[in-house]
Amino acid sequence: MHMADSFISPAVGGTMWAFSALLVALSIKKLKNQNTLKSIPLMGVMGAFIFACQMLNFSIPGTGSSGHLGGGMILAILLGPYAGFLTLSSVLIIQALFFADGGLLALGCNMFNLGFYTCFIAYPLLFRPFINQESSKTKIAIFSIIACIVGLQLGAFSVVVETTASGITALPFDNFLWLMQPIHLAIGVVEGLATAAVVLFVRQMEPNLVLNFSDKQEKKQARALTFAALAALTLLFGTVVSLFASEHPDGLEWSIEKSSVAESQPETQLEQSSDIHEKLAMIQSKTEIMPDYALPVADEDAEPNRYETSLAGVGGSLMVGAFIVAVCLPLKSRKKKQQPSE
Amino acid sequence: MRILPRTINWLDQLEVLSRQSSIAHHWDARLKILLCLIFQICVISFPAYSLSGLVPFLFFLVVVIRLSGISPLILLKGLLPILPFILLLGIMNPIFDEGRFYLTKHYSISLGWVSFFSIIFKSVLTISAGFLLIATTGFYAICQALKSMKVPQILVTQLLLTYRFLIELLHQANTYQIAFCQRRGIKKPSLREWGAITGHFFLSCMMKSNHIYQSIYARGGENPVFFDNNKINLSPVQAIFSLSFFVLMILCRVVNVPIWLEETFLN
Repeated sequence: MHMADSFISPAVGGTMWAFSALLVALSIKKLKNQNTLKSIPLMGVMGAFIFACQMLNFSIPGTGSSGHLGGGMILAILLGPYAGFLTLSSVLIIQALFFADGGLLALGCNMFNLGFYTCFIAYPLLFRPFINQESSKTKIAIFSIIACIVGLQLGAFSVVVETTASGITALPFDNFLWLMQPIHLAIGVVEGLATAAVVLFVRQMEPNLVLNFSDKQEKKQARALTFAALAALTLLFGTVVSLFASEHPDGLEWSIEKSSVAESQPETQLEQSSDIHEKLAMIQSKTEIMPDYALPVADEDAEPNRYETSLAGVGGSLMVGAFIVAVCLPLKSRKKKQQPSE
Repeated sequence: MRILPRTINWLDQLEVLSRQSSIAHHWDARLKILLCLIFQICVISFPAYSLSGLVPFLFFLVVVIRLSGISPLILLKGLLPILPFILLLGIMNPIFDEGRFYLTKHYSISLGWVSFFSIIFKSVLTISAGFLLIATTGFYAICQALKSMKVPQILVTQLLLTYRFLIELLHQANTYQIAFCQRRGIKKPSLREWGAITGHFFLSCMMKSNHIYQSIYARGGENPVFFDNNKINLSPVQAIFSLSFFVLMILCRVVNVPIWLEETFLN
């Protein structure tokens, strides 16, 4: 995913340099509050460790190819997000200087794409709040894979955006996106498995070295941050992204419309009615608040307002959220009551 | 399995090159870093269809190659592993960009091919400049220059330590992998086996890091010294030479030299 200098414009490269410099400054500020004398050799050795690990390959059964450790996620797990980001940045600088793996002007892009999303998004939001020393092997593997996939998908998306914004390649945005995202989905799974394999081995051999989060308050905050981020993302999709939703039918509706059965026999199984169907349809028509994601109107043929879709998106999300809380809270309190007796 | 020895060999080769003695090697590292960055900015700021404007920038590379005595073949060796990736992405341009570029009244080529060659040319120039910087300066001098350019000490020290341990850990990783695969009679370990090898490797790295911390603490207390405190003296000759390089680069960026030459001398 390392970007080369020849694919970015100075404006994009400079902007990403500025963002990455801010992140480096923030990481250094956070690290200064800790014992830097102890953490600097550790970061140096870990940087070299990650570099070497990227060349230690394992075979992927059935594909004939091989995988290796990526870097950002494992560094965040082993060193924490700030030290992890700085270490990854130094690895990227060495890769750019000695191996031309990513350019010097594209360094800001690479630090952001590979380091920011893994260390400051995937790790604190999707791994840290859900994993501790007692977590099962399966849980660690699942959250490693999820975090690695999300980190890599966001990184790959940024590569596409930065390259398209630079205007160097003629590859259209959507084609480039289709080229990048699926590949990095597969890479994310492999990297997640590799990360979990190392974390599990180290936890078994030296339990105090990894996943030793003693600060419960911090963990609670991290979990709250995750839910706040998910809520913000839901609202963003409900309000803004839904405005760009396609007006064409979805896959199921399309296939029913196009299927030969539907064309030759208008009375298909789906349209056949019985008493039960009619009764259920009547109940549904009385309970529906926003039919077809629009406010109910007297004139059925009227075109729905686009903003009504946003309203339906937000309202629907809030109702689903309320339903989940209503179901899960009693279960949680029941579990808490059972714990003392055990 | 050959990638690790190849990497170690390449790092050794660049380290040996950086210890040679030439005008380019004795040049102030800060000036070299600045000139390299300006060179790269000038090159990548050319529009996608500009090919002729890039040609004069070869002159700067040739000058540094001559001054340093570094073989162009070594630059080529560094370029070769990267070129396939650049070709893969660049080759999309002739497919998607079907505009025409007229060479003469009757002959034209696709604009996609022009931008493709422009990408390749830019890559060769920027990557070669990066290699020349590291091959004539060395990583320690670069870190020292970065420190004197007020880059935060934590980052510079960490960069230096990563590089110092890199070759040693690469050798160690190579030994681990060869030993494991030969004992099992396999070419590559499975994921579970790989997890065990990497896990052991990680634990040995943690031990190493603790030893380093203890030795640093024993020698330098809370403020260990990683760099010489000697101030780098900038000679007037170097400053003038660098300034003229800088002016020439800007001129070559502002004026399309081949077209200017054609208009001046051929018309």
